[in-house]
Amino acid sequence: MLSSETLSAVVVKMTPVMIVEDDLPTQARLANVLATLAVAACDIHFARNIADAEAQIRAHAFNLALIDIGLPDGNGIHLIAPLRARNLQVTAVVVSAWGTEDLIVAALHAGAVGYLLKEREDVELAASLRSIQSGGAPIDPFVAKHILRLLTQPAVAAPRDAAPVNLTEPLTPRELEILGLVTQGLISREIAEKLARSRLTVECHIKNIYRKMHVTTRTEAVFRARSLGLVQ
Amino acid sequence: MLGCLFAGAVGAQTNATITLASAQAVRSDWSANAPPVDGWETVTIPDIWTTHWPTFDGVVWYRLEWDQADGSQPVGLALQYLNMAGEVSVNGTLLHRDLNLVDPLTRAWNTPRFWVLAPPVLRSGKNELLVRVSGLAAYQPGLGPITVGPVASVQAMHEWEVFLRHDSKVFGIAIAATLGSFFLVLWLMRRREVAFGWYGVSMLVWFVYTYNQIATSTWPFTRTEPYQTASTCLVLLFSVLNVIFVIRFCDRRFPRFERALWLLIAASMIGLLLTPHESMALHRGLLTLLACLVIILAAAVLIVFAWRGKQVDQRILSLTSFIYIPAAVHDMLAFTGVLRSNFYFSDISTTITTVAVACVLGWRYSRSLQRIENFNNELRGEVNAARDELAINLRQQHDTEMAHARIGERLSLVRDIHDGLGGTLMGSIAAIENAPQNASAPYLLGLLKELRDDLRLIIDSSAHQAESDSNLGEQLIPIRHRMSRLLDALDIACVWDIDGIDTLKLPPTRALDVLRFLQEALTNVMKHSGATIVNVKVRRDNAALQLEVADNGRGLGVEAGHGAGMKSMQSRALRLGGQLRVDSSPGKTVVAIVRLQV
Repeated sequence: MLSSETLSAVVVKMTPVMIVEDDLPTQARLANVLATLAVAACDIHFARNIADAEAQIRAHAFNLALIDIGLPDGNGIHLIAPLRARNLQVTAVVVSAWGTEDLIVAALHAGAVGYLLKEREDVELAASLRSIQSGGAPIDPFVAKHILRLLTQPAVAAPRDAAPVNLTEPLTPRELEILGLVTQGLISREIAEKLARSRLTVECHIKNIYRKMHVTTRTEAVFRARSLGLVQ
Repeated sequence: MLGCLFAGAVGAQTNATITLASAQAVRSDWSANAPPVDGWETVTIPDIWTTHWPTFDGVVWYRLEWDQADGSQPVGLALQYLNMAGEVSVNGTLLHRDLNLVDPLTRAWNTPRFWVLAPPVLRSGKNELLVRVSGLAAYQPGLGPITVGPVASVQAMHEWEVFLRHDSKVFGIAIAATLGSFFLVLWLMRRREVAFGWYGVSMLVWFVYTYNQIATSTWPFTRTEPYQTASTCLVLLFSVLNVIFVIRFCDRRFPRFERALWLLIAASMIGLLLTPHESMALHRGLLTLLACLVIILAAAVLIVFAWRGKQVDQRILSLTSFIYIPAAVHDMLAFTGVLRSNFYFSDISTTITTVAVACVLGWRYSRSLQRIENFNNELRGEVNAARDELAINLRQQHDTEMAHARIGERLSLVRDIHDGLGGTLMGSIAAIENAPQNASAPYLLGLLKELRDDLRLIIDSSAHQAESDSNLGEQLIPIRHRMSRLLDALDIACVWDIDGIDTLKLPPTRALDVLRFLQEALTNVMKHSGATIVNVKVRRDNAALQLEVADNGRGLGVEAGHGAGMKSMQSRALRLGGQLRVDSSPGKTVVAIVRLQV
């Protein structure tokens, strides 16, 4: 393995976990998926809105949070900052209905390191969570495409702001290569075969890409999201 | 006679000027240095000697006397002209002599002269002025008015005379030359302005002709007679050009009249050239009269045409005729000797006319500029109006197109939903109504998932529709990734063999049908086959697209081949214009559409 590519996949602690979701069947569904990953029911905490979630954050230092983006009292993305303030090691995963790529990318800017799409089968959600647990992250072609577009066409992505979109740390050629392959529709297994790397290595690269997209301060995140036209 | 003269002279002498109105005159030959003793006759000044010596060419001596009470003070002596050349002496002292006193004669006919007389030339009492004049009978030979008196008064008279006979003529000649050239050039640049062309030519002819007023030699001729003949020809030519100008200026043409006039004038000129010396005076007089008449005719014609027509510029110019005609009549009378003057007004009236023509031209020019400006304004207005109208039309057209596009999009979305979701819903409703006992929870769940997957396809493909250059290769990416991920989570390896579709563009509905076929085939593999590997082939070979889904599962049962799943696959293949081929045995099942025309 090349030195530049030396990735130490850190196993993510899954508990305690908070599920922020206003729809009760979906809450149950997510809990069931977590159960397949051997997460004990007593370690799962539920919140149905932002206010609930903030109370839960005050009470517990979560290691994992599954956050619905569209909550009745606001955007779930706003919970990422308090979660991180409480526990810097938290793994924030946003849960999106018919995935709107804008919101997912905004969540990545705000510090999320993964996302789940409600429309997908339980097995797939479980696979994604397994990948997150082992230190990787899932990705879809439309998200990869959006990230690449941000990097190569900042002027188009941010017509109201001439400042180019610079990541705090630029993407490596390998990361760009992986993004390119994802946009062609390849899944991580196929990419791993193509690059002669392990599947986990590929998924760790993806998680690193998400980390690089994260903007540290909340103000900065809002500014970045606004400049990208993601929020008004 | 002399007594009378003296009496008259003395009477007016004290503080005013004296006009010497009477003189003694005597003829001599060209070479005489002193007047002959005999043959003196009394004449009146100004004198044209042909009135008493009709055919005499040669030298005439004029002797004039006046009584100067106080000869100690200087007096002024002014001579308006003598015709043609001569010398002047007072009390035997020579005051002036022209350059050539024999032919070619110096042309002094229009040159006023002035001297200050003082002792010893001037005497108290009787003083004698002797003027020797060389002249030709044909050209009004003689002596002009002579004035004696206080220096200041006489000099003032003289200067006024110089202004009239010389300075004003120079001024008129300069104007004629300048504006003549200007109008000629104008016509050369703009041949439509025929009137100005004629005017330019006539002014240039007039310029050459009036040069006679200030010429002092017969240059470019070596004798007086050809010079005079040329001068008469020029005035004839001018008169015709002037008529033509007037006719053209009034926008008219009289070809026969004009031709006749040209012939008349040409014949007159030839006649003049052939005239013997003896009858020159008569011919020249008649032809100059003719020229004057033609000029008067032209001025009269201008008045008639201008006031019959309605054009303002013609009327303005016609007003100059009221100066022109009297001037021409005066000059005609002066020329024929009816008026005892050799001062001509025509060049002054011509100058006025020239300025008037220039004004008319300026007026015409500014009027056409105004017309152009109005036209431009109108044009600009029309262009703006047309542009606004066009913009409105374009906007309306654009709005209509947008509305159509939206309606089209909505229609195709509705059709997509109808074909997929609708078809599945209708089929399922019918199935459950026929056999409600079969509607188990897993069956219903499968149904809902099928609807969800179809909705996902519709969303993906309508997202791609927005990108105009989307091809089947790009449209395939979301479903490829999604199905691969799902199969992968179920430990089924999905291997894609894609070739030649990156440039393939299908109509949206057709592309959606291709994706539906693949999705349904892969869903079937996932649900029923128990396979571990599935190979998906999407290949384009020229005009044919081949779709193939092959797995290593347990194979289709006999009833599965005729089941509802296969039926729907069959109908999709038919819709795509292809043929469904199912080749199934345990460990190898191939579901394919072959020869799909694209």
